[in-house]
Amino acid sequence: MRKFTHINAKTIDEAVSALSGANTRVIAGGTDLLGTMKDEILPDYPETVVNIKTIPGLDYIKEEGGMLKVGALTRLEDIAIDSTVKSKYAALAEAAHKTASPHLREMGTIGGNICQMNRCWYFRNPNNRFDCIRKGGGMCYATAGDNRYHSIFGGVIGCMAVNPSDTAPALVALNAKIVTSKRTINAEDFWEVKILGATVLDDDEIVTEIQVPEFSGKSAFIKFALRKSIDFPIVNCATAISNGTARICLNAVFGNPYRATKAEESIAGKTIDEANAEAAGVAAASGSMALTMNKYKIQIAKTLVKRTILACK
Amino acid sequence: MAEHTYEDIPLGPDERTEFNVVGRRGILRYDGYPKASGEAMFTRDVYLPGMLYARVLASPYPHAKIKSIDTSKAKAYPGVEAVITYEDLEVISDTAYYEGELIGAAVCADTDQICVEALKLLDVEWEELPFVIDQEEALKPGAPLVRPDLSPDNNIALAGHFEAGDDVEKGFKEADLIIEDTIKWGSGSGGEGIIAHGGAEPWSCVTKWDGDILTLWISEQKGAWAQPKIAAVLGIPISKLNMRMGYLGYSGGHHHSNYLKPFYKGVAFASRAAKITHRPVKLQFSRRDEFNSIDMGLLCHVKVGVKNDGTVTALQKENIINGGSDPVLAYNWAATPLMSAHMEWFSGETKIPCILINSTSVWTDTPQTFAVRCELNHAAFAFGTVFDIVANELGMDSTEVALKNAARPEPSLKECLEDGKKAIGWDEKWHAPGTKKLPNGKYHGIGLYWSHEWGVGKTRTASAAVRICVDGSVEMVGSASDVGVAPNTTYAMILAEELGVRFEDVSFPYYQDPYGFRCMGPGGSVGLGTNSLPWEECGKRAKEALLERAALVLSEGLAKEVKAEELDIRDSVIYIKEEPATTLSVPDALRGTKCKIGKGLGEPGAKIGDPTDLQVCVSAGDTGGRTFEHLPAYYQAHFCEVEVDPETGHVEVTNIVNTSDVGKIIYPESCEGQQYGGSTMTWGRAITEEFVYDPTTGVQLNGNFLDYKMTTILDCGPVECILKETRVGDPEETGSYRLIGIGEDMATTVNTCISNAVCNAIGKRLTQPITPDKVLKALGKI
Repeated sequence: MRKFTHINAKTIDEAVSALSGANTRVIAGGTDLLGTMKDEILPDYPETVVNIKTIPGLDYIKEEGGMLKVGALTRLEDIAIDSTVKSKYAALAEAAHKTASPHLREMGTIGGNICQMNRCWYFRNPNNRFDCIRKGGGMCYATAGDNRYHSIFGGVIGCMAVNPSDTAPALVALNAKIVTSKRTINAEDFWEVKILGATVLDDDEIVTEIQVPEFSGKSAFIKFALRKSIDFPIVNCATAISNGTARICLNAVFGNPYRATKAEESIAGKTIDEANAEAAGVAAASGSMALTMNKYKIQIAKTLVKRTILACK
Repeated sequence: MAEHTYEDIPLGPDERTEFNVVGRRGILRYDGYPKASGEAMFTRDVYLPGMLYARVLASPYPHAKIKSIDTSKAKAYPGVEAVITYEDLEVISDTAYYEGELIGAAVCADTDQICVEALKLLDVEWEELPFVIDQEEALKPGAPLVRPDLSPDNNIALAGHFEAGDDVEKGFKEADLIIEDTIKWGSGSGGEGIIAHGGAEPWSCVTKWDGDILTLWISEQKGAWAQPKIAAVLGIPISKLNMRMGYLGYSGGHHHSNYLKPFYKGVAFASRAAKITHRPVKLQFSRRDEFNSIDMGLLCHVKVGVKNDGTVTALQKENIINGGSDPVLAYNWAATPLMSAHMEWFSGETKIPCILINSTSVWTDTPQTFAVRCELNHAAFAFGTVFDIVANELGMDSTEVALKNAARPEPSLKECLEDGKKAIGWDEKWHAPGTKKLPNGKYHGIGLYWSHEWGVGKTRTASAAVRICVDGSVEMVGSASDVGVAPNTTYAMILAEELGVRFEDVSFPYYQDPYGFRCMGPGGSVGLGTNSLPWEECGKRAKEALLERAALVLSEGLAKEVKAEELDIRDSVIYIKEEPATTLSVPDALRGTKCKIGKGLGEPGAKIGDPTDLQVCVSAGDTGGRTFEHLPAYYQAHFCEVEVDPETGHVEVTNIVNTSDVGKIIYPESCEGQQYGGSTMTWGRAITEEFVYDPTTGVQLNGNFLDYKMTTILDCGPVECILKETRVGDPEETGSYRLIGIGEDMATTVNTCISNAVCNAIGKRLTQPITPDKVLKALGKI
């Protein structure tokens, strides 16, 4: 691993100030960042890494002011086992529980999980082997290459890579807000495919808190991956249903978490049963367009929408 | 074949039936705590004073030749001590045959990171050459030539023709039904189904010269064979190559420097760098480098003639094997175990009277293919698949087809099948393919795999020595390979058994020098089958020598003649058989003749003789000419259940039962460890594991543990282990106490059991790995 400057920030202001320097990255659990650095997958290597784990008071789960508040540095495992989250925000607890591996859940934070970079084996091939569109290059290698894990809803800026977060769709389904050092953003507006970026965050902006409005309905999350021990999702889906209104979000199917609004409309106000859930699954897939190798993901997406709805019965 | 005889050989009067240490439960394996705690030192943990690092250039192209290298910038980089290219070192190639191949040049520097930076500063002019990854593409007319230097006309590396018994056409005429099918594993496009070693420690070495003697720490599972090869590559006498090998973790057939050129070439670079700089040099592969070692692929057209009762009358197979890019496999390996194994499995294990097999090995721009626990994967896969196809076509229970066709169904196979069927509930659960849906909406499938157990080699390379120390502790001397059935511990149990000492009194340290005594199976396989024999013999000889010494001591102490044959030893206590109360400790026996009986060293009244160690050795060859000609005596039967989700294509393996007849169990927990571990490992082969190559650039896309999906214990459901010891094997063809191995066959066979179960579930046979896209397509969902 190449040398870099490591700064332990003591306050959010200190972190933000350090991040305003050139070629600087933020590190919390480090489970994504260190991999990109070791493999040298990016065109530029960070000169400075700003550690925010040293900022006190960003690790908490509490109910306050009619909402669930989760500090950005809260580890995924702590969310997965929290009794309040499990009972009232089941989709979020389950998503945290299904993320990565036991080891990584003890290291990775919720803030890092929603800010992680896209997964794509061209983008992440070691030593920046493919100068792909997401790095500012001229083409998406996955379109003509092996795209079994890529987007089924087309590209953004021509990139077919998917957002791999497990917690992201749960936060969208639960209508969460992301609080940063600058502003508060609705979860569904938080992600943005851009060159070397996956969120709307500015370079000197960090996530500080997740807010989930008090939720009295039922929510569910299902992840489909090849292995239980460790894997990013092939497709995942979170559904939250309250008073006949559903919010349904798929992930790993598109560059950003994909809110399945047609499925939401399809199930709205209807009895939750096999036939209606199935119809919602079909509706979720409308507008999908498979690449050469990933048609199966459309079938899985339909199934997960159906099953998460049925799980909210 | 029919001319073999399969009579059981009853246990002889001199064969051991009562055991004190062998077969005992509760013994802790030597390497358990060190590995679990992190104490175990792997090769990359070796740090020497003043040590430098080296790294080798990796080809960014799947087929390319270096036209020139300008090393000036790299040499000028601060901290770089040496740059070596193919122009300096004859053994190093200038042509890459797969993406990521380590060729052309190496840099040596103060730190590993400086090496990384310096490699980037090498100004390499590459000539890109056309490439082909897929073996089927490689056979098409006009395909790019992978090895024009060796095969100038086409990509056929080698072709083999094997026949056994009568003419197959005669056999087909006698059949009631002729079945034809095409099966494949690891031969699909873009790397489909090609499996990797994924060794626990990416290969590493540390080289240090002391005058003209080279000390080499190396991740090596086969020092006995690697030492001559490496010495030849380096141009030094074998006696001047001091190899130090220790913990490997899992290597699965990968760490073979005698065969695999990235390794012996890596040693060549590192030793040259150490020579130039007069300092020790460490060269270690990255995880991705380690992923440049793969299993071969098989595309196989089978034609089977079968009677209505399930008896196979003729078999014809046309094999196309992916030979990779290196002649070691294509010439040495494909020619012997890989091609002929297909014949040996069917001719040795079955009663099929007419067999014809044609095999063709194909060059592709993929890494050197080699045994991936193990080289018999594809022969075993074809074997297990063919009989499952026969059972399905005839609508028969596959356990009946097994008993009809096995060369020697009784007693071992019959017992294994009966035990396994009972454990999994076969009679209640078996059903015709594609006919059982569970209340949860999933298809239920149940599968069988059966074959012989294997694990004794033809050669006798193993030697061993034992030193009984003056305090009574016993040191085993020999270079063992950290591969297989907890080898050091298992060998120590055999030695303790034969020598008559307590297991706790024996030690078998890692990182011994391989000179002289090397308990290594001939091919990295068959470790216990081969190595049990010298340790058994060593224990017997050491006991004899110890009792001779004891007889002298007792004669003097008791003032009467005591003969060695009147003595015995158990639990480290020597005693007179006729008067068991008269005992002698091992240290006392070693103290010479001037001591008083019953007085320990240092006790008042004890006359101290000159205690001397006792050494005994067994040379390679002393254990006689045991051979293994694939005559099946011991069998294995594996059963599993799966549930297939028709809406997602997910395959869940819900239950596995392994029944293994190992002849004689030495270390029960280790045998079960192989059953659990092999099942876990092979799970991935059946369902998740494969390489992915970019079709346009030939670049490997998933050379890491996240994207190359090995399964772990967390992925797997219950595994039930049943061990059997029929001891009916021929003592001339088995290891100590008529044992046979268990390690390789588990990982090699259970995946086919899972495939068969998926076929039973959905009524269609799918290619491994059975990923959701294949299942959904087979079910007409996409």
